Amino acid sequence: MSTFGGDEVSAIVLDVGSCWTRAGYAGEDSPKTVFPTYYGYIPENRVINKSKLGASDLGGGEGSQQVEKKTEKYVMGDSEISVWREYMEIRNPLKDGLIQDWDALEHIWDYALSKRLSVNPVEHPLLVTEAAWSTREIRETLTELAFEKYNCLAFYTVKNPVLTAFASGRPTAIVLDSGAATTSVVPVFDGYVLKKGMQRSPIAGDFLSDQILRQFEQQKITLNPQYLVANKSFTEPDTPAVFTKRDRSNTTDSFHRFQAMKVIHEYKETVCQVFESTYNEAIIASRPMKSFEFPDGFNTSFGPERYKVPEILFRPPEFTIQPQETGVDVGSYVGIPGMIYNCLATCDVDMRANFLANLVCTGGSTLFPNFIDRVYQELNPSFPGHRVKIHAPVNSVERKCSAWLGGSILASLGTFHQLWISRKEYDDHGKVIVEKKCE
Amino acid sequence: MSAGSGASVSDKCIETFQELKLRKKYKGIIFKIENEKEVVVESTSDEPDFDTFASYISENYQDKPRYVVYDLEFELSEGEGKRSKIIFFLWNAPGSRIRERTLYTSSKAYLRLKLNGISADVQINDYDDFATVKENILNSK
Repeated sequence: MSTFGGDEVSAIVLDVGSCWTRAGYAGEDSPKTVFPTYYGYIPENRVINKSKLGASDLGGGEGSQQVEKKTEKYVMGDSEISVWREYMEIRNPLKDGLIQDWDALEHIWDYALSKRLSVNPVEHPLLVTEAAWSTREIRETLTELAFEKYNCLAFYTVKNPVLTAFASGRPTAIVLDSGAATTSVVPVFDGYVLKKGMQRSPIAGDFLSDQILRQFEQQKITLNPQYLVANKSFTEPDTPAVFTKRDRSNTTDSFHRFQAMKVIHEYKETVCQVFESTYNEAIIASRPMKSFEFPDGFNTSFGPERYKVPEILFRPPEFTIQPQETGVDVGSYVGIPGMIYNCLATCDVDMRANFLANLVCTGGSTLFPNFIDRVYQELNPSFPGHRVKIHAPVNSVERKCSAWLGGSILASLGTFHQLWISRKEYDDHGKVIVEKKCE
Repeated sequence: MSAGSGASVSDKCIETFQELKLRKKYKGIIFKIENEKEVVVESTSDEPDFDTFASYISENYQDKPRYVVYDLEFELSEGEGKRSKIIFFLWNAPGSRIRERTLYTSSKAYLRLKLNGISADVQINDYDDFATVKENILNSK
């Protein structure tokens, strides 16, 4: 058996999530770099010659990548894509956690490997994480990409929930992952994903952000993202904003939306929270309001609405604003407790106790205050005679990057070298080897 | 094979387990992973009381995950005599470092596959879990 035998070089671990990409060296306890999976795209006919003007001298060269043969331009990196550029679209190569746009994915890999980590992939094995519902085609294309384009020393791919379960110390667990694009509940048994028990819903962070945008519209709040604000003055709460607006013609809708989402992110993190038990309007109305200042200086306080939007995670049909306009068939999705319930219903009854005692939470949308308590409150009465235990790391790196972290440690273990797909194996068997080696 | 670490299991592990299973030579076996490579027997125990054994584990292995096999003996109701069940568990010490935790978790299946005759395979994350596990096993007798 020919295996990859060099444990002296550290492996690279790459986790491309639907909102953030994490990359770093195996064995380290946090990723070296975390940057948005979103990227800026300027079409061929709109790329402006650098000497002429504009946007590029605002940002500096660090993250921008000029593709020489085509003239279209990809812009990567958090600060880079936040700089306003005429005609720049903001796009995302993933849909429902799966890779759709392979050209863009290559740009993300390039950026992560050469710009952020400054490594030559020829010298390193590469471990890539993937969604539990990833397809054979995707895994094979990833393998091909790693060996053909990047000439990696060796390659391996592991499913996110398995890595999360490993990092939590539980080979058997139910992994609840509520991230940006997807909320999923995946049963993992001794390191295997039990596919038939997997539950998936698009009601996650991005959906909530979109709902908050609608809530602002209903409240007649105009959201002016930072890029439109030249300067602002102090105003009393609930009085119209006094600010100078920048002239930003030829801004794309996607750029404006991306900027608006940044504001909403901050709103979500500072204002929103989950109600700790069954939603109760009367109690919530008596809770103190929380104020939020928008980039244009407008500030106001939010009461019940700060509980209402996160409540969608628990009861989608009842709490979604304008459900028919979301593009999601909201009525067909159950909330998180229902997903866990459905997941358990597909599993062997004998395994139920073990699963319930080992529920692992991960993903940014589980970070709402009271989220964990609420999940517990909803589940516990549904399973009398069982002990429900939820594991959610307090450390936010562990919560946001659990899959990366699991991959980092796994790939750094001395014994792992025999599992990598080596260059030779790839040359002998082709891309189909991935199905055999990375089960 | 599921995703795993690639660790190996020493023959001594299987021999010691056979002695517990067939000849009742021990009550418990504690396994550890040596040099992040191989599962070996760390110690054996003759402690007949499960609760005392549980306290021993949780006090001495506060931050060290281990694999444990224990031969749990219990009385059947109305004097029908004694029975025993061999339980296997991953002790996921509450204070363990993430590296150790991932190592033991991703290597568990290798050891587990070599031990035949386990009647319960459970996960124990803290001291309280011992009681729950015992209760579940007694209820299912």
